[in-house]
Amino acid sequence: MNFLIFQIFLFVLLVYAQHTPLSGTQSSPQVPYNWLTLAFVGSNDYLPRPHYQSSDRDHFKELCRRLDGLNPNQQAMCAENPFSIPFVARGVREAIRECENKFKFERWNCSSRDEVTETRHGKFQDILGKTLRSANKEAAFLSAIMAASIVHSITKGCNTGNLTECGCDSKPGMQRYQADSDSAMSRDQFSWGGCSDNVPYGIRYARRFLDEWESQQFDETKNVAHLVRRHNNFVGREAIAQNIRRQCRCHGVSGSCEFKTCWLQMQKFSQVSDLLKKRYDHFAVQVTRKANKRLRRKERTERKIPLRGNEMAYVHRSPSYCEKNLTAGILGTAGRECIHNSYSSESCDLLCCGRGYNTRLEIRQTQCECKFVWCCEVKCKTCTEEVAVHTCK
Amino acid sequence: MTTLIFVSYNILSSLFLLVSHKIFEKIQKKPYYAEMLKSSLLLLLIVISIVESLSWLALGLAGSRFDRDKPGTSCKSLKGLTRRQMRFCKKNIDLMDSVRTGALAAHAECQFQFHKRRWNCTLIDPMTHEVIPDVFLHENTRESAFVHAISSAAVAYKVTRDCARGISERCGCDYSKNDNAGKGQFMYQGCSDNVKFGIGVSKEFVDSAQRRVITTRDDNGTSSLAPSQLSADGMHMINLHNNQAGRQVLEKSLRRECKCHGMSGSCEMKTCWDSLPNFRHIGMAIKDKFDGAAEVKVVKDEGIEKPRIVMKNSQFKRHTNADLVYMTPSPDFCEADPQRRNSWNQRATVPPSHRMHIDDCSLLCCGRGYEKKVQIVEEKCNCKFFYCCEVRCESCQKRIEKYFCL
Repeated sequence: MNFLIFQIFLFVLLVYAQHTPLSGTQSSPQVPYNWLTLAFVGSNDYLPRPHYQSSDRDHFKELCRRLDGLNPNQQAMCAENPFSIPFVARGVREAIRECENKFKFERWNCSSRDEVTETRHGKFQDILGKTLRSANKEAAFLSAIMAASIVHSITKGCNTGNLTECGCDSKPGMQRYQADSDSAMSRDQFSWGGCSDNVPYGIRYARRFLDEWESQQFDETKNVAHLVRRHNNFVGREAIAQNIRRQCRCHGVSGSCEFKTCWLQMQKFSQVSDLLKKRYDHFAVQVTRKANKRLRRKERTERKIPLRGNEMAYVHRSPSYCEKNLTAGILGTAGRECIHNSYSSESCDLLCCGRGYNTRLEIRQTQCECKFVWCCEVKCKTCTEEVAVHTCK
Repeated sequence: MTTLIFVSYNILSSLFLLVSHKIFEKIQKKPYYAEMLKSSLLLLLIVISIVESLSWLALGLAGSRFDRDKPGTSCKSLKGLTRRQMRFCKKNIDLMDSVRTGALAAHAECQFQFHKRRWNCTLIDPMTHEVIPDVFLHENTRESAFVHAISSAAVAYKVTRDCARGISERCGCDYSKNDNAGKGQFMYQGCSDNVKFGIGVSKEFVDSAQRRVITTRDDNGTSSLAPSQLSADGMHMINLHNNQAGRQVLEKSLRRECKCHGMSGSCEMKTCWDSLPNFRHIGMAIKDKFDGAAEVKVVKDEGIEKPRIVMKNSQFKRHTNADLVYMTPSPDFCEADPQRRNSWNQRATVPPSHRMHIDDCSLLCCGRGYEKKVQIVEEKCNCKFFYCCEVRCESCQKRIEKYFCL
């Protein structure tokens, strides 16, 4: 069956190759580099074939070339290690979901008006592209969470054995980690066992995937935005690296801790994104517009203090995100749902930027008065309730 | 309403055209100009009379106390009253002090509620002590709705408070609730705030600033003016609605307060009375209504004399009597518009890092940018008490950063 699909695929590829001129196979210049478009990549194309042959290499090379938005370095990585691409894609999707979740009630809700360009390989949607390239605080958060998502999902891929390049960490003792609270008390003997998350591999991968290009670009253009992005990628990776925990299991006689096996585990991605949101809220540092080698804080009195790994960097102040501005990709807050009688960012006053709100009555059906009926059923009534929904003007 | 003003602004230009272009080419257009002139003069009348709907707020700054023995002279010295309000003043000179403090309270509360926003509720010109004829305030905008509601609520509030204090002789406590005695656990015996009287006074005084529009219209009503009649009528209706909404908010904010005086403070015996909260609470409630104000239009059905207020977008929840309504969307207050004599100035108070505030610089300055001004202020500090009896202080320099819109 697999073979048949492969045949069909090769045929399609052949037809495709005939229709595209040879010179056009390089990535088209109009499309900006935005690797977030990987979010649309399905995992099926990149599965390893049953009998991996050298001819497959060309096949994957072609697949990689179709990914508009990857810069040359990323293209090379894709060709070299195509099976990792679905994991990166999954990471991107997860990161976007988390970002939307964390910014649900703020004026910038992790969305933008994305431009769609027709390319030879289909439609290219510039996901969050305007924000990502803008070097403000929101861009900093995006860079960080995306870098973290790559580390997380590649490491998970290693751990589950879906990636052939890597496996569990064989030397977990070399990593930075925090012992969990109960075993911190007893400084007793333990042995590493189980499958420790191979975070160093994930970090190496993410660094190559994101940072190499930014470094090259900075050397060429001296544009501080590349340096800022590289730093924020680092912040994202650190958010995972700083929070690796040691988990242990005791298996002495009747569960005593005479013999202990421990392994390392990353935090859940939602916790990582929580942490990054905190960094965005409280630890964002404005840096100067020009830099020679490293970023410098804008605040004159603090210039000598280097940026730490928990501080996001940004260059430009953010716009208010209140009014629609299509050239900047800003959707505005009109039509957004807000919460009445609240004092935080989701309150109607703040979210609607003082423009006021409309109220709409919605009838919602909920299950209520649920009862357990023997045996074994739960019966509920449906209640209808009118809910006032407020949306910004 | 914008068109109304536009037309009235056009009078001058049309006059100019009429005079300077008495040339033959323009003859065929002449009847059009004449018509326009006639109607726009009429419209001007209406506009002028509408401007008066808030001008009584200048009362707040009227300095002297009212001389109860000479109502005629005291009332005539007041600025900005309509004929009906003047009549009210002469009849009820004892209430005018409360009305005046009401006007003052309304102005102060409006400025408090709006001090962080682009339009900071500048109503009264500090030089002339008159209400600024800010055109947008008379166009049934949201801001105008707020000012109407807060001013009518403030008059009712102050009159009620003064009644309970016994300042006015004609009103006292509201004892109507004392009938409840014996039915429940508690007994009303206290002095409940006499909101009904206050609301009555507010209705009489504040609403009579509106009536004039109709008389103007009645005098000159012609069939060709039907749409503007409707709009003048509509404005009038909407102002009245908002006045009423302010009073409704006030009435709903009455809270029952009780005092127990049974044995050792037990609540066997209880005296209860209804009392109004601090005026800040009412200001907050009306500000809340301002945020959720409904955009409406006024329609006139065939055969029915009175026009109706209906929601502009029927998908949204219909406004209640206590909700504010408006017809004209507000300007964004970003650019100073020479056609509108606007009066907003922009000074941010919050440093730029506090992004989500309503007075944050990028929002307040409409994205134009801002400048930081550092002031060094001398303050007394390290104060010590010396025996006896002196307090000695050092003077310290304090840096204050202020942000101004460009």
